[in-house]
Amino acid sequence: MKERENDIFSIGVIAGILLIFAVVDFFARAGSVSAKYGENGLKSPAFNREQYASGEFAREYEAYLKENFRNQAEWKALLTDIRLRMGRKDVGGVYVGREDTYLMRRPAEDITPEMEQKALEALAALVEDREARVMLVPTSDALWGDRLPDFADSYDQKSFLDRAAQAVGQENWVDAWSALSAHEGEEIYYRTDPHWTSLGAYYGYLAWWRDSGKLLPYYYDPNRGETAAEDVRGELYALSGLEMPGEKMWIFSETLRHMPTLLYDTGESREGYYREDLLESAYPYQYFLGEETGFLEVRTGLERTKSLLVIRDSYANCMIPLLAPHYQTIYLADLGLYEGGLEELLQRFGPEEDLEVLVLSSVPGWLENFR
Amino acid sequence: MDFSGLVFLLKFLPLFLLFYYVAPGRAKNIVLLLGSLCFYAWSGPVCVGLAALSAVVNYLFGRFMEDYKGRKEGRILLAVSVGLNFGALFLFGYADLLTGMINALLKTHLPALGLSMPVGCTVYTLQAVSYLTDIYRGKEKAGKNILDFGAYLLMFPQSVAGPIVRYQEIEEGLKQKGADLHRISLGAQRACIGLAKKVILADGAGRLWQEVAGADFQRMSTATAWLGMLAFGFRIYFYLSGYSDIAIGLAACLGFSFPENFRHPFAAVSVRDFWHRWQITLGKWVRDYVYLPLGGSGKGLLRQAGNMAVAWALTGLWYGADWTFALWGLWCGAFLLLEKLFLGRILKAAPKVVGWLYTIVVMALGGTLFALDDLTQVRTYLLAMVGGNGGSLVDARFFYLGLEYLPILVLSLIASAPFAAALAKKLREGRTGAAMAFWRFGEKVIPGLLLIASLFLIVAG
Repeated sequence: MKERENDIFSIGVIAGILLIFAVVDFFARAGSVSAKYGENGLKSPAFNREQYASGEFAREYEAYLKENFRNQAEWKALLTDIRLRMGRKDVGGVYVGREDTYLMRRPAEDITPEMEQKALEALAALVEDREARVMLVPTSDALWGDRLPDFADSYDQKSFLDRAAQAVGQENWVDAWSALSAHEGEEIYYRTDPHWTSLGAYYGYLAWWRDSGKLLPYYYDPNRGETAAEDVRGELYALSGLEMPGEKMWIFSETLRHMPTLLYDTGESREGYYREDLLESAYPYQYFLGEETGFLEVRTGLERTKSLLVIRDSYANCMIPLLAPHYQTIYLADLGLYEGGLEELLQRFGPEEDLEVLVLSSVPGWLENFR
Repeated sequence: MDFSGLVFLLKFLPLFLLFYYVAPGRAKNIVLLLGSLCFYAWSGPVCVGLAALSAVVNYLFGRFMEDYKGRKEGRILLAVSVGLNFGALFLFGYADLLTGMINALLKTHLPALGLSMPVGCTVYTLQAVSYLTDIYRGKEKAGKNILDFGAYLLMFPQSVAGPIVRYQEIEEGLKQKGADLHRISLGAQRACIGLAKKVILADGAGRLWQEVAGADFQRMSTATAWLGMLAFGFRIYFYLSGYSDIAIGLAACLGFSFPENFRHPFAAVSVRDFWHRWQITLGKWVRDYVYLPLGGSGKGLLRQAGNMAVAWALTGLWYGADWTFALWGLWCGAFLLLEKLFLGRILKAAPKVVGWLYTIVVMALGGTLFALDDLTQVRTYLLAMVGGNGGSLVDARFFYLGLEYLPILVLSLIASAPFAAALAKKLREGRTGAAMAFWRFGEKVIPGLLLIASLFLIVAG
């Protein structure tokens, strides 16, 4: 009798679980929203003969079921929570670091010696060809290495920076590592985003300015920043889906004193450095200069004798408003997206007396150009 | 259709079970056959077309064969039917492998067919060949009813990873004498365990293996390389044994007894012992329908070595259409031969732990052939495993990955070791009240695995 009761219990529970899932899936699908694609994720794949014959329909339908399962986001959060409680420190390529910091995972293996070699050669050729300065910025996972989980693998950016400084010569080198590490206890990086904050960019700017021989256009005061948003969650939040506390995003109020015009390579133009409409997006750092683009021209509207060509990645975006008052125009080229590549860019902007060149990129961003 | 997919679990299975249990007596076999055809049809018209054709053709050959068994005509019929079965398998699964080899050797440009192996083809082809051969040998009677035969040959539970079931093993079940509640309960629990093995352990270990496989082998530490191979071993074991458990469990729910397919292979103390515990039904099939018909061990050492080479290369190729799989099979076969010649006696005399370590090392080193795509990668990875790549013995990455995946590794270790099963058996058969109570509690926990596995299913990928 006892065995029969047990059998009925087992069958009942297993059938019940299956049935509940099946019923929930069948009836509640209409009200669900895809965690990944929003309302766009709800569409069932269209059935056609070719897709069916190739097996594509079956694959897409399975993905559709999974993606649009009722409360997918909550299920995902629950599973992530279980994994974290079991000791996981890497969720979706994001390290759960110490001191409530989230850090991008950048394994040493991702960067090959060949990439390093090419990246160094390109820098050396650049400074030999013309008067150019190089500022490669370490990312938070390198400078805040002590916040990484135990034994976490991370690319040695300091070693690359030392070699880069040698390759370009001290006269052309802006030492961002020293500038930032002197303030490593401060909020120089976002905790939920892989980029530096306005404060980090400010220390970077000071390092650049110190040897530039230029006058300070404004007295930038980090204590009187203008709040852009009180509670943003950055790219690492979007990547991992982890629950993270929001953080403040602010800008130097002095950068609002002039109104630049931004001309994108898409033909679009905008006024001002900051894009409030992107603060709510998955990439709130795009508040600085907008979405990624291969080429961007910033007309500062100021009467200056010099212009600046910045070979950059997205790290530069936060520092451009601080640099801008020194120049009439700033040309920004992101090699990862710029169609012509470095050679074409340097041909387009030949050595000219009134044009300065600055490589301003994160270390991983610069290396990625040579993959 | 994947057993660990939502289409199967939430759509196909509930509907199929509803119709199956509602259908009376032998009509269940019709539901089983139609359900299985739907299962194949989900993956495309070629899958269902080939499966249906195989059922019809093999049924007819079986009927003819019975009339001519043991005679010359029967021999011809057997050769033609086996040729047709393997011809189809070869065309869909292995033709491109051969054209690739011909192109490489003769510098020709034969076009690749670009066909992919239809779902279940590797399993039902072997089942059909064993069925026809056994009829020819007089060990088996041909199925009278094409619907019953179709239900046997194409039964969906074993279509993904076996076990390879012989007709006589489920002939009794096809009579459909009614469901047994206890059997259904055990079957459902077994299927839940299988699903959890696949979704939690195989996929978890798979992620660890991906981490290692994605790294630079030339700079990899020895410890990380071994950790990676351990993860790969767990991944493939829990994948195959998980699907086998689902098959055995589902079959039990439908009133059939499928043979066991895995028996704690990581506890093996020799390569021979390993193959008595790993994909048991495949090993037996190759022995009975390839190795022994070739002459087995009865015609001298050289002939035996040749027979073993053929049998083990084919065993390897069953797992995948690449020469690395064939080499993996040959690697296993070579150690089996050595054990037969002298190594087995040495291992028998030595403490069991020596045999266990030897088996782990041989299977791990050979596992690189199974795990990696080409021989250059295999070579570099093997160098990392033996410390010949210039990498360190142990590095931070090993400790990081070890800690990150510690729960999966510990769970995998427990689930693959025989002591957990032995403990469960002891509790089940225990005479004390405490043991029984603990076992009853364990039984109640098993359905929870379905819930956890479902959670992983919904979220993963």
